[in-house]
Amino acid sequence: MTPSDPPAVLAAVACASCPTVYLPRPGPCPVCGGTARTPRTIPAEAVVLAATELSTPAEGWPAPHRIALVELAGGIRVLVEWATARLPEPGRPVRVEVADGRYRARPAASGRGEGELPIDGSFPATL
Amino acid sequence: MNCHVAASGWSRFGRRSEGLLELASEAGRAALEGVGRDPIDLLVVGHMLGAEGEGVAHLVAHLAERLGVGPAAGWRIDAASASGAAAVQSAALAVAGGRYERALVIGAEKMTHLSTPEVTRRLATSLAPTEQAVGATMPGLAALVTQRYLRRYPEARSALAEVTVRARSNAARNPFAQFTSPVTREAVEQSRWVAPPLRLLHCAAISDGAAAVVLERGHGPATVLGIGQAFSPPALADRSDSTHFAATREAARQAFDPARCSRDEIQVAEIHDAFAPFALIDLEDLGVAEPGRGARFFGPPGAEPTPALQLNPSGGLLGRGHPVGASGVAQIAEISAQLRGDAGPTQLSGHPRRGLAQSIGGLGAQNFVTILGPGEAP
Repeated sequence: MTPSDPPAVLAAVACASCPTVYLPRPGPCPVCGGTARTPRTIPAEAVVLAATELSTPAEGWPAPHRIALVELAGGIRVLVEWATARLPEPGRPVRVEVADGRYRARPAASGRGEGELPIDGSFPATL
Repeated sequence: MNCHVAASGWSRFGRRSEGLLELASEAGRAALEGVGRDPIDLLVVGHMLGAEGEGVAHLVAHLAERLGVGPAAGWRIDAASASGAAAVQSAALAVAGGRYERALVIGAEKMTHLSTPEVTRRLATSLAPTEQAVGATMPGLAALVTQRYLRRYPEARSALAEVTVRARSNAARNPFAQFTSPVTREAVEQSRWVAPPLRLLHCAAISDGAAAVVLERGHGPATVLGIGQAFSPPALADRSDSTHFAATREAARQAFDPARCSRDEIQVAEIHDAFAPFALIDLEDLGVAEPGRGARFFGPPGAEPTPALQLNPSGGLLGRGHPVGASGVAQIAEISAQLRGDAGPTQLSGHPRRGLAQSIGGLGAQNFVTILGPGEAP
């Protein structure tokens, strides 16, 4: 990304019946049940709430597999596939992208390793 | 409700060579023996993963024939890992409503013939499609819930191993349990990672097994005093609180209102400890512990007064085993046996009079609470 690149955004929808903005999904607004909605974009920057590494993923997924719960602007949460080998700490800023309906996230910064968690027995007691 | 649990039956849980029908029949026959072969006019089966792959689709019809309970009505219930609880509640409503006199309810599951990744995949099909799409699994999401919970209540971390230690200690007295040997705190804390902060011994094991109860119209020591169930969004990301299960809170509210008893009057409970931290969360959601205080039920001896409530005398999901469709029935079978005084080796001293079973479907997407106790004369 260069300074001239446009900020990364994600497609979202705004409910026409209430103030809720949410990521596209089948079905009605998760808050009010309204079905009318309009397209919206939201920043792709998010903050990690929790992350883990699955030693035994479901059949069809390579092991290990990492997932994270992240929070976008406006409190919108989404479960993502974590894209790098080390898990992020809660609070770490990340960038979310979507391809084929699957959300993935990676560190928003240069990726020097700060704020990432080891996945061995030294898992910190504060998490 | 005008309905009570008259008898309980189990198969042994664990790795079993028998098929699903055999396990379900074993538990069903054991429960029927408890009512002297009185006629059954309703058969309800709780089952999650689908038996079609074993060549036994239409499970309820095959079981009716094997058990000789025809002519009877019947149906199969799927509420994921709460299928058994849902089956009991649906049968209780049908019996108390007057349409049926006596119901046999069986919860059954066969899992150990599948590889761990395949079981993991099948269990994950109950999760939200958007979360399945990124490779979420049940232990994975449970780990995220646990991280959020421990971040809010870090002092609870030390209780997690104790949940498993106590579960295995209780299971050692249960002849039907998957695990009959105790474990130490060190063994729990040194078991391999499944999904940090969850280790292997924090997680209920893959298991085969079945449990059954007979429900009768009328009243007894294990009368159904209150039932409740509620939904939450299947996607973890859609929940405003990812540290607790709102569906348990609502199910408990529904169950306690008509039961006309307080939380303090519940003397024994079987709670859904599929993952050790869920035991703490369950107690808080049920309202028997303040938020963040579920760990006090699992504190070291002498550190704090231990609450009088007896938890998971059967060993719970961690100790007895968690054949997913069977667990909800197994919980109610155990609680009712405790109240009737015929729990055998797991019978608690002091003969408890009121008990509770709490079951989680999926990752808290549909949860159930059932309260049993002495009923009033009709």
